[in-house]
Amino acid sequence: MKNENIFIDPQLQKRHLKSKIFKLFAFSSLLVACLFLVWFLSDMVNRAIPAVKNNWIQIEVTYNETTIENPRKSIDKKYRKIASKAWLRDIRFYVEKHPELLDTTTLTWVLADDQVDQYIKGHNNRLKSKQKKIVDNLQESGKLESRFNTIFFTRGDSKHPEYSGLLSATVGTILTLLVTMAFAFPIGVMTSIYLEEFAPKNRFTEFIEININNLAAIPSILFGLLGLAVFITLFGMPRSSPLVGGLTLGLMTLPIIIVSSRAALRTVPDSIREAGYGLGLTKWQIVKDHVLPLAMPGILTGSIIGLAQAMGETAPLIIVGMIAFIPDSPTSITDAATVLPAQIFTWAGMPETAYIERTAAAILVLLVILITLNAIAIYLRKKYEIKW
Amino acid sequence: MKSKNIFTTDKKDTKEKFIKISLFLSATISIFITFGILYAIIFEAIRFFDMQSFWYFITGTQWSTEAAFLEGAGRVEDASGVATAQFGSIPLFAGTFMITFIAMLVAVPIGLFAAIYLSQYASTKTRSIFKPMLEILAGIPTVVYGFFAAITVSPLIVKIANYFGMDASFNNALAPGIVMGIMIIPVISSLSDDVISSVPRSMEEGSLALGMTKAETIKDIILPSALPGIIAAILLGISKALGETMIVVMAAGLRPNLTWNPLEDLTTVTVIIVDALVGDQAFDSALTLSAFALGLVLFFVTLLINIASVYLIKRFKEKYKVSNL
Amino acid sequence: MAKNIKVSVKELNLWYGDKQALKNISIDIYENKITALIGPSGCGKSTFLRCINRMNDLINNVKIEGDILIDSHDIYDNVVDVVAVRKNVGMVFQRPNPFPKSIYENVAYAPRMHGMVKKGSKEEQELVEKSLISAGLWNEAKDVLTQPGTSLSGGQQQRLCIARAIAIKPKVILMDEPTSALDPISTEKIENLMLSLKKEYTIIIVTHNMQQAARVADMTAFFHLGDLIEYDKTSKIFVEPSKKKTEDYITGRYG
Repeated sequence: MKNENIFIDPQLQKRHLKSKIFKLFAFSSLLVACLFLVWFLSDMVNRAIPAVKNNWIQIEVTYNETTIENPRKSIDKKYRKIASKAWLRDIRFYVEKHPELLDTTTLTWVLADDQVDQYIKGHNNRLKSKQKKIVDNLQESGKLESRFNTIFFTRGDSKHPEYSGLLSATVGTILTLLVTMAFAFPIGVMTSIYLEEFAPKNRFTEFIEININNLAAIPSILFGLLGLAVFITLFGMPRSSPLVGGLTLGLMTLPIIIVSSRAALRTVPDSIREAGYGLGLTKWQIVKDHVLPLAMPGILTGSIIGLAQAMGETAPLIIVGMIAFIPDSPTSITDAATVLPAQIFTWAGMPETAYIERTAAAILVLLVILITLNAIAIYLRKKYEIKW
Repeated sequence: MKSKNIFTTDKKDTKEKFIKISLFLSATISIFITFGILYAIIFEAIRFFDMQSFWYFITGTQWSTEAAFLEGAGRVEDASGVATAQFGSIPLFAGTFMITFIAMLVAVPIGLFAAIYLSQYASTKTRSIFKPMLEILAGIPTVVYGFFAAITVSPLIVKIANYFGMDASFNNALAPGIVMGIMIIPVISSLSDDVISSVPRSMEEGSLALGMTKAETIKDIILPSALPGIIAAILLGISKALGETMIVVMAAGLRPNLTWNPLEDLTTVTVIIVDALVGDQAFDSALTLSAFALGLVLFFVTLLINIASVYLIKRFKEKYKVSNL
Repeated sequence: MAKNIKVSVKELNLWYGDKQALKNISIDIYENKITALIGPSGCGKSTFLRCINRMNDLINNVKIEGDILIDSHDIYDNVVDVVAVRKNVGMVFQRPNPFPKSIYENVAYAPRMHGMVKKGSKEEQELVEKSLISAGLWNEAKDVLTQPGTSLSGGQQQRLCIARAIAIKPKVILMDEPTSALDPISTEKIENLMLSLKKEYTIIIVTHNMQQAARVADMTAFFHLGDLIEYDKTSKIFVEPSKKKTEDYITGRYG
C-alpha cells in the first residue's frame, strides 16, 4: 500500500497564490508612495529649470539727470514694454558704479521684461505681435542673451517677476530662526534637564509632561493665533517682524527640542552620575560637567531637526503678518520681514506666469537647505553615537 | 575647640538651589504656552460669541461674511447694501471633513500596506532604501505640497474630469485631498511599522506553526493584534489633516459650500481662519474674532483625537510590554 | 509491543551562520510514545525540535543538512510544501500564545483555514468540542467560548494552545518547554494531559526539568553542545546511563 505523501498538497496552491498576491499588493503600496515622491520632485525640477536663466537685451540707454529721475525716458519708446521697468529704475546705481556713462547714450545690456522672458522660454505671455517682432529682431541680431539668473539670489522680492529674488526672504529666515533658537534652545534644554535630572516624580511633573506632549500635536495655525493675540495685540510687538515670527516658531519648536534632549540625556548611563555622586559632586556639577557634554551631540541633533521643521512652517507666520511685500532685506529683528516658505506662498499666488518657475526654484532651494540640515543632523548622530 | 564639620557646605547649596529654581521655571514655560494658547483662543472666541449667536455658529449652514468684512474695514455704508453676515460654521467643517476623508482614503491603505511590507517582508537593504524615502515625504513643507496641489494636481483633475464629461473647478476638493493624503502617508506608515514590528514574535510563530501562510498570519493574527496601534496612527493622521492649512489655502476654494461633490470648489475651517485674519479689518470685528471661534473648535477636536491616540498607544504598550514606542 | 517509527532523523546538521548548533543527529522517534529531549541550556534541544516542523527555516542565515522523515516522507525534500509540513505537525510553545480571538475561534481557526471544516458548521463545533475535551479544557471553557483566549489563566491558555494544536489532527505534537512558565498545579494537569494524549498522538517534548522527563516520557534523548549523547528508555537513562556525560548531567554535576 503506497504511503501517500501528505507533505505535497496541491490544495494549498490557492492559499500560496493569495499569499503571493498579498505580498505584491503590499510592495506596490510602498512603490506608489515612492512614485508620488518621484512625481513631485520631477515636476518641481521641471518647473524650476527655466528660472536658472534670464534674458537680457542690448539696447541704447541714455544716462543723464533727466533719465535718472524718470527712467522710462532712458530708452527708445518701442522698447518700453520689452525692457524691465524695475531694472531701469536702478540705473541710478548703475551710473554710480560706472560714472563714465553719465551724459552718454550707450549700448547696454538691459534686463528683459518678464513677458519677453516667458516668450523666449516658450511659455504663455502677453506680448503683442508687434512686440514679438521686435524681440525676434533683437534675437536675430545677437542682441538678446540668456544668462545665469543671479538676480534670483542677489535681490529681494519685487512687483516685477524678472527682478525678484530670494535675498530678503533669506535674510528674514535667518533672523527669524535666530530668534527661534535663541528662545527654544536654552529653554528646551533647561526644561529637559529639569525633567530628566531634577524633577520629583509627582503629579505636577506629570502635568508638565502631558502638556509638552499635547503642545507637539496642536495644529500649527493655532500657534499663529497665539502669536497674534498675545505677542502682537497684547504685548504690542511689531507685526511681520522676525521677533514675533521667531517667538511663535520657538513655541512650536520647544516640544521637539525637549523630547529629543530628554532622549539624549537618557542615553547617558547612570554609572556616570553615580561616579559623580561618589566623588561628592552636587547634582548640578554632575549634569553640567559630565552628563550634558555626553548628551550634547544628541541634543544638537534634535535641535537641528527642530530647526529644519521650523524652517518649513508657513501658516502661523502668515497669521502674524510675515507675508508682507518685502523688497529690501530686514536689518533687525523688529523690521518687517518675510521668510522663505512665506515667499513661496506669496509668489505662488501671483498671477504672472514668470513667478511659477521662480516659485519652483525657491522650493528647490528650500528643499536643498532642509536636506542639508537633516543630513548634518544624521551625520552628527552617527559620528557621536557612543556605544556604551 | 570644636572641629569644623566637614560634611556641610554652604556656598554650594544656594547656587544649587538657584539653578534648580531656574530649571523649574523653564519647565513651567511650557504650561504657560498651553494656557497662552487657550487664553488667546478662548478670550477672543468669547468676544465673538458676545456678538454672534453660538447656536447658529454650531448649527448654521450659511457662512457669508461680506457684510462683516466691509463693516470691519470701516465701510459701514457699503455694508448696508449687502445681506447681514452669517456665521454658520457647518459648511466649513463639512469642507474640512470631506478633504480629510479624501486624504485618509489615500493615506491609510498606502501607509498601512507600506508599513506591512517594511515590517514583515522587507530585507534590511530594502528598508534602508525605502524608509528614508518615506521620511522625505514627511519632511516636505506643506506650502510646497500646496503649490504642487494647485499647479499640477488640480489642473490634472480638471483634465481627467473633463475627459469623462464632468465639470470640475480648479479649486476642487480632490486635489488638496489627494496631496494631503500623500503628506500623511508617512504618519500612518511610520507608527504602523513600529506597532506591527512590536507584536510579539510568539504570536506570529504560533500561527505559522499551525500551517498558516505568511499572508494569513499577517491578516488574521498580526494585524488584529496591532489594531489599537494602527487606529492610533490613523487618528494621528486625521488630526494632522484637520489642522492642515497651507495645502488647502493654496489649492482649495474660498467659497463655503455644503456639497457631496469633491469636484466642486469648497472651503475649510483653516482657510477661513487665514482669510479672516489677513485682511485689513480691525482686530475687534466679528470677522476677525470668528477666526478664534473656529480655532477654538479646532483646538478641542484635535486635542480629543490626540488624547484618544495616546491612550490607544499606551494600552498597546501595556498589552505587549513594549518599550520602544 | 511493536514500536513503529513515526519520525526518523538521519544525520541532521544545522549551522547558524558559522556556528554549528546540531552535529550529525540521528534518532528514531516512536509512534504513540512521549519522547523527552533533555540537556543543559544551549545544547540544541529546542533547535532540534524546531527542525521537525521546519520552523528554523524562518531564521536568516540558517543552513540545514540531513533528512527528517515523518511517516517515511522526507520533510526537507525539495518538492515538499513547508506549509503542508506544519499543517501536519502541531507545536506548543514555552509561553502560551493564544490568538487575539475567542476561545472557540482559537481552536476553529486553523482547521477551517485548512478546509477541514466549514465555518459555523456542526462539524466545526464538534471538532472544537472534541479538541477542548482532549485538552482537558472543555468543562472550564464550554460556557465562555466567545470570551477572548487571553481571558483565561496561564495554565488554561496553555491547554487552549494544546487544543488548538490537536484540532488540526497532527501526526506529531511538538512541545517546547510547555510548562516552564506555569505553576505546579497547571503543570501537573498538563503532564496528565500528555499521558492521555499519547494514545492518539506522538509527542516530543523539550524540557529542562529532569523530573518532568522522568514522570511523563517513555523515551529520553540527552543532548549536549549540539551532539546527541544518549537515547534510550527513560528508566534506563535515569537509573543506569551508559555515557558519563549523561550521568554527570543527571546527577546535577552541571545544569
